Amino acid sequence: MNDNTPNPFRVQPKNYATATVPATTIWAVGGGKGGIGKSFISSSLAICLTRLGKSVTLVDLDLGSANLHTCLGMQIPSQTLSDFISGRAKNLSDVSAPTEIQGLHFISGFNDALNVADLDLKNKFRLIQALRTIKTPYVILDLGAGTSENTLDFFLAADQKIIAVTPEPTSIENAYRFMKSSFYRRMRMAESELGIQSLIETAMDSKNQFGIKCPADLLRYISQSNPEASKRLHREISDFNLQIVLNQVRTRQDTELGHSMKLVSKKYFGIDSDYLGYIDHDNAVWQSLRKRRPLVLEYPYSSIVGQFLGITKNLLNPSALRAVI
Amino acid sequence: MAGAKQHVNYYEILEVARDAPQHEVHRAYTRAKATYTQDNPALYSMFTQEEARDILKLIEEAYAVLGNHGLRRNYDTSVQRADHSALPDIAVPTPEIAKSTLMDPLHAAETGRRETVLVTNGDFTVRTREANVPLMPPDTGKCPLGTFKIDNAIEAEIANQTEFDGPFLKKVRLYKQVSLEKLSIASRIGKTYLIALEANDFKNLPAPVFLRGFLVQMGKQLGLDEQKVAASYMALAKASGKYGS
Repeated sequence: MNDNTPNPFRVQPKNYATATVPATTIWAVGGGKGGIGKSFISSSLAICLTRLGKSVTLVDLDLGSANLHTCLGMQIPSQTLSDFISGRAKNLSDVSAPTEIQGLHFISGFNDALNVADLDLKNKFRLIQALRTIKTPYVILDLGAGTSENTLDFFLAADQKIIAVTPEPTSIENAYRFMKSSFYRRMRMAESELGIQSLIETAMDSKNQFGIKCPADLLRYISQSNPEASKRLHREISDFNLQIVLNQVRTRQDTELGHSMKLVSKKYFGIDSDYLGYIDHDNAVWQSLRKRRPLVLEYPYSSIVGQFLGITKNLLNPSALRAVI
Repeated sequence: MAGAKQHVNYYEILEVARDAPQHEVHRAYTRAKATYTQDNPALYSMFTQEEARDILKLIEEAYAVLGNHGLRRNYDTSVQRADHSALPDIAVPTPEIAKSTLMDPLHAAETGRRETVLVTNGDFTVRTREANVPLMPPDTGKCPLGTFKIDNAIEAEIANQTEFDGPFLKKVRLYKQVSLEKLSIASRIGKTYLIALEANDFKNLPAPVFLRGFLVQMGKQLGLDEQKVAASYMALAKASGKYGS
């Protein structure tokens, strides 16, 4: 990314005056740690969206260890993303497979030796462009564990950036690491366009002379030293707001963790996030997985499915979460 | 955070809007406090224990001001003054003007839902009272079921009465302008019982334990001494020889 071309991996600010067709809305589910239910959450959200009458394309971007088809109870489709990357398939619609659930389409990730790290810049660009032109109004990306650059770029390309977290220190630590990594990646994209590189580099040095410890301090420092750049930077990162989903909640106290994480990330990054809701820890999850049937179909009247529906509605209408009661 | 000390804003610390109502300030405070207390897993790897302690101290400081109506108003005024004095060509507003723009009841008054009167003192204390509730004329009495016009003769009679029988209770009820229906709903006593009670129709009254409860309720609703009412009426009923036979 040394050349000066605009970075394609970020959400282009929507120009509502000239937009003709409402573009595809992309939701990405990430979270850093493995085994916290990213695939479970993304598949359940997708099915909940179809329950609400929307059509959805579910994309498995856990490249290298794709297993979303198992969550959906499907066989591996004959065409996968690797066909699109290698050029054997021209369009994403060629590799998109219909499912037994009405309104749900599925694009499987790689299932051969290709790894997420092997995706080169050109193909990543092509893939993100193609994701934006998918015909269904909603696209859900199931990301892999870790904070590799490619994963972060897919995450940043999404309109709704969902962070999955479980109430365990390991998961919380990785969730914050994932937030930090994606935030700094987002900042670095903005800085090359705004020419405030030196400032951010100063700030990244944790023993700097200005006492800047966290991004919120940096934003405050920039707003004092360079109000014009600060205004533009705020505009640039205004689309960086995160949505927190708490998974595997066992106690009442755990449910408050989402509010705490929202406050901490606001204090630390200076960015707004929403706490979408929590999902109970329930044996029904692995029981349905063993039967290889999606939970939403297997136990449609369970409280977990109710919680998922609530989260889906919050995602569709985030202003309801911020409403003053 | 060294150079940012003068920019510490209590509203930013608690993450609430400037015009947030008090219950929101309180909720924000309880959440913030729960977040930055020791051992909260949500702090893990973001803030050290010392940093969390500093933030908690700021939160307590902010809530000590914003959680108190008077102090919050003083704070708002001083912040607004500071903002205005930074712009020399704008006149510094007098405390009354500054306050009136911050007062919630005034905004409510603009929408016409509720009218309040501001009473300002020199020490920034502001009292409000409902203006559209008409002050009662001096000869208006109040009982739990409404207001009535005071008649001194009847009042004296009530004060001196030792025997509360049915017709007298009815007289008091009519004097205090309470209808039978209203009394029946408020006291949860059936209308037939109320009529029997007022007519001294002891045959049709229920067992003593219920009757006593009825009389206490009735006395309370009519603003009488309910113990006196119950005792005297019960004695009267038993003496009549018709009750409970």
